[in-house]
Order: sequence, then C-alpha cells, then structure tokens
Amino acid sequence: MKILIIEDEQDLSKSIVSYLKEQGYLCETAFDYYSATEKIGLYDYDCILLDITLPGGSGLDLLKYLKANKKSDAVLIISAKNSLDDKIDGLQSGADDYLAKPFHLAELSARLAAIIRRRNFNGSTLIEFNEITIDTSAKIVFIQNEAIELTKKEYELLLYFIINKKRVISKNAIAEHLWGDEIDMVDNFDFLYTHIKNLRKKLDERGCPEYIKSVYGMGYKFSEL
Amino acid sequence: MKLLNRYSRVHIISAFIVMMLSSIAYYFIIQSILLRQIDKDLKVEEAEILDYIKLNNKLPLASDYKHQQIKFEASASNDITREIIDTKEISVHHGNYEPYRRLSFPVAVEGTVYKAIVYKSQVETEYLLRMIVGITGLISLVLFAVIFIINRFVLGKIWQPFFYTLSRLKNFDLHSKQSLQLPESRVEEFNDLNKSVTQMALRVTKEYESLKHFTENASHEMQTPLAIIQSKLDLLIQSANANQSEPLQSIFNATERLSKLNQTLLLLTKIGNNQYREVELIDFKELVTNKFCQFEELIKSKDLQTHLNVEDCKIFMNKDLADVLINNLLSNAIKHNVDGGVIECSLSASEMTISNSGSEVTVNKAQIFNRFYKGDNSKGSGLGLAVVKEICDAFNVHIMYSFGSMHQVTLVIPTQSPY
Repeated sequence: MKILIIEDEQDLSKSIVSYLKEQGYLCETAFDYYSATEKIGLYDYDCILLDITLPGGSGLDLLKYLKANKKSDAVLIISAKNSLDDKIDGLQSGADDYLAKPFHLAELSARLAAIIRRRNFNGSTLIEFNEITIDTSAKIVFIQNEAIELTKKEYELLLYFIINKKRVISKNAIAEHLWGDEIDMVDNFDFLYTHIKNLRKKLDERGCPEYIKSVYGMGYKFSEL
Repeated sequence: MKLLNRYSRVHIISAFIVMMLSSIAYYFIIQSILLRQIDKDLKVEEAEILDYIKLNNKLPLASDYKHQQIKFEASASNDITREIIDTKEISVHHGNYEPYRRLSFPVAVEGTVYKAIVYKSQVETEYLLRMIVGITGLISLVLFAVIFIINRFVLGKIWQPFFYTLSRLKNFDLHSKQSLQLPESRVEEFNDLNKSVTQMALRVTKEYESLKHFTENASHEMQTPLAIIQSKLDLLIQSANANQSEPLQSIFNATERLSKLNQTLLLLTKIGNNQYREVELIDFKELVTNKFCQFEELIKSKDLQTHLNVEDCKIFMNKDLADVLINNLLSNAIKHNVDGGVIECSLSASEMTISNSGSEVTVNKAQIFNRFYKGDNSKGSGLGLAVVKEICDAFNVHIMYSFGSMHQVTLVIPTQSPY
C-alpha cells in the first residue's frame, strides 16, 4: 500500500511515517504545496494524508487538483483547523475522511485502513488474524469459521486492536476511539477495562490465546505470544 | 433622579426662592414709599393748619372726612411733642378699628396751647399692598407653570438626541457585529458626544475582534505542537519499559487535557464569533434520550439511578451545539455525582431541568457559569458550563442553577424562535 503524507510539520510527518511503516505501508512525504503537486502528478497512491494549511497553498486546492485530473487516490484530511467549515469543505471536495489534530497514530491507522477497505471494492472486506476473521462489511467476527456474538463496542475494540496489531495502544487512544472525544474521562478508565475484560473472556471461551496484553498499565497490545 | 426632574426641581425651587425674597423686599419698599407719601401729606396738612392759625389767629374747624380727620384738644401742659405714630381708631364711617397714621403737634392760639391731631387712614395703603402681593403671587404661579411646561416638553425635546444615544448604547452588543450608528444633532455637544461614543464603540469592537481572533489563532497554533507531542508519545510507548509507564501515562493524560481545553476554547470562540449559523429544528426529546443511552456505561460505572421524564420539545438550534449542550449537562451531572446517586431529567415544551445528587458546599452559585470556575473537588477543565451558558445565550435559552437537595440546572426554552 502506497501512502503519500503531505504535512509541513516534519516532526509530525516523521512520526506518521514511522508508525505506518511498521504497519507495512510504503510511505512518501511532501512538505509543501509544490512538491506535493509534483508527487501527485507523477505517481498514484492508495491514500493521501493531507494537511490543509501548507506552505505555498491550501490542501483543499490540492484536493480540487486531484479531482480535476480524475485521480482516484483516496484522501484523508488531517488538519489543525478543527472547524466545521473545513470539515464540510474537505468532505464536499471529495475527501474520504477527516481527522482533526491532535490525533492518536493508532486512530490514524484505523481510519486509513477503513478508507482503503472501502475503496478496495474488488478486494476482500475480510481481516484476518490467526484464527480470527472479521467481515467488516457484515460486521461479524468469526473464530475458526464460527461466528461469535460481540457487542458493538467489543466489535469496534477488536477491529481496532487487529488493525493496530503488535503495537502498544494507549488507554487514551482506545477510549477516544470507542467513545469519541465527547466523553471526558481522563482520570477514569474503569469502564474501558470492563469492555476489555469482556472481550478477553469471549475470545478465551473460543479457545484463543491471551492476545490482549496489558502493557505496564498504560495501554494494551494485541499480539501473539 | 431623572435629569429632567432634577432640572425642573432646581429650576422651580430657585424661582420660588427668588419670587419669595423679591415679594418680601417689594412689600417693604412699597410700604415705606406709601408711608412716606402719607407722612408728606400729614406735613402738608400741618403746614396748612399753622398757616391758617398765623393768618386768622384762630383754630381752623375740625374736620372729619373719610380718610382724614383733624381734631384740636385743649392741653393743660405745655410739653406737647410733635410725633407721627401708627394707631388704630374706630372709623366713623365703618364703625370698626382701622389703621391710621397720626400726626400730633402743638399749636398756640392767643396764648392757649392746643394739641392738633391729624389722622390719615391707611386703609387704602393696606389695600394697595394686598393687591400688590396678590399680583406677585399670581405672576409666580404663572411662572412656575411656564417653567414646568418648558422643562416637561421643550427640554425633553432638546435632550432627545441624548436619550436616543443612551438607548442605543444600552442595546449595543459587541457580539452583534453591528457598528454603532448615531444621527447628527443640531446641538454641538450632542454631536460631540455621539462622535466620541461612536469612536469608542469602534475601538472597543476592533479590540474585541482582535482578541477573539487571537484566541482562535492561538488555539489553532497549539493544535500542531500538541499533535507532535501526541504522535511522539504514541511511538514512545512502543518501546517503553515498566519504569517509564507512569510518567508516560501522566504525559498522555496531560496532553489530552490540554488538547481538550484547547478544543473547548476554540468552541467558545466560535460560538462567540457566530460561526454556528446553520440552525434546524432539534428534537430535544430524541437528543436527550440518545445521550442517556450514550452515557449508559458511565452511569452504570457510578451506579447511578436515572429518572427520565421527557415530553416533546423542539427548538431551533445548531445541531452540533445542541449536542454539545446536552452532552456537557449530562456529563456534569455524572461527573459531579456521588457513587450510587441520582440523576433526574425532565423535559417539557418550555423547560428542561436536569438534577443530580452531590454535595453543595463546593459550589459558588454566582460563578458557576464563569470560564475556568471550578468547584473545590472538580477535576474538569472548568469550561463545561461556560460552554453551556454560551450556547444558551446564543439561542435565547435562559439558564439557571439552584441547589435544593440536589444540584439543578434549568433551561427555559423560548417559545418564539428568533430565526
């Protein structure tokens, strides 16, 4: 999967590249409007991560350029301008999703995977991890080809874990993914723990090994032993 | 006291004092002039009598006219002094006591000394004085009436531009983005006033705008460094060891708080800037019910009892802001609750109340909607209720907080939509 990251903050760009590379993505970067136009013109990407405010021009113009040239690259806007107008403008101009800064890298990875899944009409909507298979179009989870019943939150949690497998995900990132940023619970992750416990139990009942590991109390990691 | 009333009062009191003093002075001056006139007449009479005696060597006949009587009394002693006095005598004509001016002086006829007495009635003088006082009083009354009418109608009209300016200032709203327009007046001072006020309003508006832009820009600019910190943290925990987990978790939480604070400040600024203009008819019943479902886990984790009593309620509001409004109210009711406590929510077409159990002492009622106000035990940002208030203000919803046995927030929903 080839990704172009158009972000003028090099520190942020580096973080994104570092995280996504581990996920198996091929990453290229552009730090300003012109190098971005150049790269977009020359190559095709599976997804473009696009910042709105760029030196030399607006990310929204790049979006229009893509559409005008009938490029089919998926676009995920990452913007500091957390304003409704930008979000609406961006989505109306053909962006696939919008992520406001600051964001968790795990969240970015999940959104990216979702976009690519949606875009990938011909391909499979199945995500596999050992004996676990998730049918993302039907939102059903199979363990050894047998469907298991999960609540909506447990399903989202499992999908999030598998997309970000082998990575440590902070409790903050998980909470934000499941409940959005509306519920303020910085000092209380108790009910997050309840959901994880329930998911663990359901996986355990179906004979899965302990995939969900707690990492020093600051987060969780979904991986094989 | 109102300007015009005060003005009228000063005017009338000063006019009254001047009229009183001048009436008194007038009275005494006229009185003394009239008295002098009478005395002069008496002296003329005296001279005539003396002349008569000198010429005829006998007393003239005593006379008794209406206003003047002349009498001669034979006197035993020689020490008659000449004197003019005020006296009261029984009037021959009217039969009652009347004031007289009396001149007595000695006259000698062929060696006999007589006391000549001339009376002059002062009734006329008194009458004249009474007339004068009456007329003065009447003039005063007319004057007061004129002053009153001038103050009441003419002054009001003259000060009209001032009162207009005042009313415009009272209704001046920094949020409305309407500049203050004041009409020209024929009075120079009022023009000056209007000019100064307009300039001041313009300056204040500019300052306010730049302040708002500053807040917005500052919040925006903070997003990027926050994004960098957060992304580096996400990478850092991949290789963290047990010793680093606690500080890392603290940094995570602090970053998240900072980021939320920033978003909330941005939200407040945007509401203030009127950037949420799209309004639609929001079904509060549905919204409230959904929110309670959304918060179900939080409610359960604190073991809270909920009592929902919702009726149909629709209001024109921005969809996102309505969501934030209910969100903040409900999350407050959960956050500031005690374990095993109660949340009550009732909704009618005109009112919404949300109450929760909790201790009273930590809250200052007057400041509860202020930015960054926090109760003693609050761990929040101190902006939740400020946002609620700002949203309510933007959509003409009146909001109140009270504490009976529970914390209670009441929203009075306007029946007439402003849009």
